[in-house]
Amino acid sequence: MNEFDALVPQFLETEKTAHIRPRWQTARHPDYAEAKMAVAAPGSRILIGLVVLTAHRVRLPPKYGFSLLFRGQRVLALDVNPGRAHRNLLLPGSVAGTHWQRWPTMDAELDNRDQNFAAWLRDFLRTGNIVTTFGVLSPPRGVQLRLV
Amino acid sequence: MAIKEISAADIEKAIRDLTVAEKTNLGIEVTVPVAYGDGTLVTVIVEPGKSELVVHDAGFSAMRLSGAGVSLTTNVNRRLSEFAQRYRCEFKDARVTAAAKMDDIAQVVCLVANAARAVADYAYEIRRQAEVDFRVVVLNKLREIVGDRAHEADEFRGKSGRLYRIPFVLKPDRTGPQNFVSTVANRPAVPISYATLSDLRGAYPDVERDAVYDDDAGLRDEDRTFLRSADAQVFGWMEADVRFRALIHNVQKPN
Repeated sequence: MNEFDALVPQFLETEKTAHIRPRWQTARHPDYAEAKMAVAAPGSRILIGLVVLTAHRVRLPPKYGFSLLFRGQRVLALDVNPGRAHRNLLLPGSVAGTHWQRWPTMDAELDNRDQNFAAWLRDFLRTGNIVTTFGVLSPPRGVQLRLV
Repeated sequence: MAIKEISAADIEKAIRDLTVAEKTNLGIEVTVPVAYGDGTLVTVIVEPGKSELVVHDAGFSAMRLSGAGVSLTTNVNRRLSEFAQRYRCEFKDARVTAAAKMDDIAQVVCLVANAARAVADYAYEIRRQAEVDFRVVVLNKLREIVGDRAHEADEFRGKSGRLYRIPFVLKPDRTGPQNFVSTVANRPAVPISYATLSDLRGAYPDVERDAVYDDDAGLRDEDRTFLRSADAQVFGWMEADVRFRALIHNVQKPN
C-alpha cells in the first residue's frame, strides 16, 4: 500500500473544516457555475483537500457536481441529475440518475432522492466529514441566450 | 467459454445499443459510443441553429474538468481549443461546438463527442503530486491577503521555451503577473522550483519570484541558497503572512 492509499481513509474519516466561503464563478464557463473551498483537518499540514462544486445553469432537472479532492484526486463525488446514464463500460451494469462515488472503487451508487441544492450539499459535507463556519449560497441559474 | 461463431450483425447491434437519444430542455441529448477515461459515455446536444444544426456538449466536458480541480485559465483554454480543433470543432466559452447539416449529422456528432472526450482527458495531464495540498494552503492564504489578485497555477513559458504551471499574483492594475509563487512542499521539489523560477526569470525579468517552503519539509541552508540563486525571495510558511502582505503594496524584501 502506498502513502496515498494509506492517507485517504484517514483523510475521509477525519473531521475537516472550511473557513472561507466559496464564491460561485461563471466568467470562463457560462454554461455552468463553479465554486471551490479548501478544507483541512485542524492542525494538520497533510490532511488538506479541496471541495469543488459545479452546477449547470440551464439543464433541467438541475445538474450538480460535488467533488472532494485529496492531493488532486477525487476521493468522494456526488453527481446529481447527471443527465445521462452513468454507464460505466469498465464495470457491469449502469446507473441512470443521481449517484455517489467513493474511493477507492469510485463505482456509481444510485441515490433516488429528489432534493434541492442545499440538501444535497448538506449530505455531501456530512458524508465527507466537512464542517463549515458559513452557509453556501445556491448556484446561479439561467444564462444569456447564445447567437447560433 | 470459447466463442465458436461471431456474427457481424451481433457486434454491430451491441455497439448500436450504446447510442441513446432523448429530448431535454437543452435540445436532443445523444449518448454515443465514446467514453471518458472512467468509462462514462459521452453525451452531446443537437439543436437547430439559424440555418443549420448545432452540435455541442453544453459544457459537460469542461464541467468534468472543473470537478477534477482544473481551472479554465487562458492558457488551459488555449490548449483545449487545440484539442477541439483536431476534431474540426471549436472550444469557446468552455463548450465544444460544431455546425452540421442533416446529411452529415452523424459524422459531426462523432467528431464533437471525440473532441469533448479529448477536452475532459486534459485532467489526466495535470501532474498529481504531493505538493498539491501545500499549494492549496498557500493559495488560500494568498487569496485571503491579496484577494482576487491571487491566481491559481497557470502556464507560463520560460526563456528555454518550456511551459511551467505556477501560481502568481497580478499587478495592482491587473495588466500582468507581479510575482510568481513557487511552493516547495519537500526537498525533491527544490530543483524543480529552482528550474522553474530560473527559466521564468529569463522570460519575465520584471516579475518577482517567490519560493515558499513548508517549515516541516526539512529544507537545508544549501537548499535555500540554491533557490535564492534564481533571484527568488525564499521564505518559510511561518513568514508567508508577512511576505504576502508586503505584496499588496509591492514592497521588495531584501534577501
